[in-house]
Amino acid sequence: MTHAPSNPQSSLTLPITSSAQQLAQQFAQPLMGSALQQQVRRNTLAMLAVRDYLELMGIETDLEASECWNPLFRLTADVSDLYLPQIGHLECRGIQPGETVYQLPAEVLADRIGYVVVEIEDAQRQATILGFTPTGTPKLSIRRLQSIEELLSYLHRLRQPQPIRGVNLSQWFEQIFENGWQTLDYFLGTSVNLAPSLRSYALRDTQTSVQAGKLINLNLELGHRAVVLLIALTPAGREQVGIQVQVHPAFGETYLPPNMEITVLSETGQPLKHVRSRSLDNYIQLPFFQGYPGERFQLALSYEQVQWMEQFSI
Amino acid sequence: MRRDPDNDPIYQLIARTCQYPPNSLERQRGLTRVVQAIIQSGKLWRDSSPEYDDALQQTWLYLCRNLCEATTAKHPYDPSRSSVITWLDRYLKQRLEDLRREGYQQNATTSLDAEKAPVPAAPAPIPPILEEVKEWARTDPSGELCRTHIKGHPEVNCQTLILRRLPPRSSWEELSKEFGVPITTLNSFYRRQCFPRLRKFGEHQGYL
Repeated sequence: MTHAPSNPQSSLTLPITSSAQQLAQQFAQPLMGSALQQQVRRNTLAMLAVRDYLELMGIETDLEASECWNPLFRLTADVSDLYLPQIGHLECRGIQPGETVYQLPAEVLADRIGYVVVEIEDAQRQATILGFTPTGTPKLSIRRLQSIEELLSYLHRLRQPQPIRGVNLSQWFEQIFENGWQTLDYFLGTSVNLAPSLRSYALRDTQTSVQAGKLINLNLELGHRAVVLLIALTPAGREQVGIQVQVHPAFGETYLPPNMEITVLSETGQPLKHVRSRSLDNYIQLPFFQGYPGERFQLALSYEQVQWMEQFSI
Repeated sequence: MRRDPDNDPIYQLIARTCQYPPNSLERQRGLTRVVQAIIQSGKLWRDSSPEYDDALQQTWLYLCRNLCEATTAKHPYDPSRSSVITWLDRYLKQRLEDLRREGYQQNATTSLDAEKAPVPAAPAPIPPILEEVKEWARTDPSGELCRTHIKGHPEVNCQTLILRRLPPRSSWEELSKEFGVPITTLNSFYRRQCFPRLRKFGEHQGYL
């Protein structure tokens, strides 16, 4: 089966049930007399149609954990979301037949995993799920929506466990380097033109330790603020790994700029230790630390207003 | 009329769909296409009774739960016995009859094997809440709503924002212009600071 973007197959029409009618009426009632009343009613019908559809698909939803379930939120904010456990809030908006652009209210531009647009045909008691978009913009173009099948794959992607982000340090012992990390040989043979301090450090290479560096450009506008972050790993008994972190100047600079700071942070972002360069520092290094395989930490390098950050797992 | 499954596009769609495991993306896509194809065929039973919409939704659920494996029915759909439309029509008409007999409007309980998509009863009626929230925000008994404000803008606090957002509601655009604070700042403040306080008040009052 083929389908073009404008194919009617990309939408799905479901009946509006009597319980949906009742709930929509109830949600809209406090706004009686206001122009918002009909909009809230349509939005609620849209949200319940999406809920019915996801139920057909066997995708779990939790209406009572949705923001719109809270009458106090509904009184002061234009929310019409459906909460999907472990995934997030999916905003559902109802439009009248023929509308081509939908104005999303400011309060739902954040904290949403996506936006589903549903056409509500009151006379036919039908709700047609037109499509969705993962990103909210104040003006949603109905024509540019992605299809309902793409919504399914999007939700599947969101449900996959997130891969461990960051750099896997234990792979370094197998000479596997990722995310721009390179062996020191790489740096010695390129135009990065390592500072003498790093050359002498690299020469101290021992058989047990593994070292890798990453070129970090903290401020492209100033040109010469590129530095090399260097990590040396040493097996430290009882499966622990010793970690040495240094920052060296690059591109022929002898000194680091003053007030550059390197910080090691816990997995959750709690700063643990930091070191700041003074004037005429050839390099700076964090106090040696150790960790067990599976433990995680972050490194942050900051200079003036610019910050670079990366996550690591041991 | 004799059926010819090999030339029936819906039948082929069903066969492909059921090759995939339940809850897989392919199964979900397939089920969506089966529902779309049945709608487009225009052959499913239709009438204008007030019970029709509820019965139809239950029928879609019956289809998705029992097309490939029997989840809520005794047996899954068997293409050798009937077309999928005939299979669904039988269920749909049965539901219509049940709903009519039960005097559905007054009685939300359904028969034992009926598919239902229950919507939980929504929290209490609203108008008294509106007055109570207004009163609570205006008097601000703990002073917390007033104290909680956007940095550098003591006048843009939770008390003001909650009162201004209650019906008749000021738009975020109006508030942004009036206070000289960007809409995104207003919104993230409202969400992070005022929502939790509204929630706490709601829980305390037993609305939630």
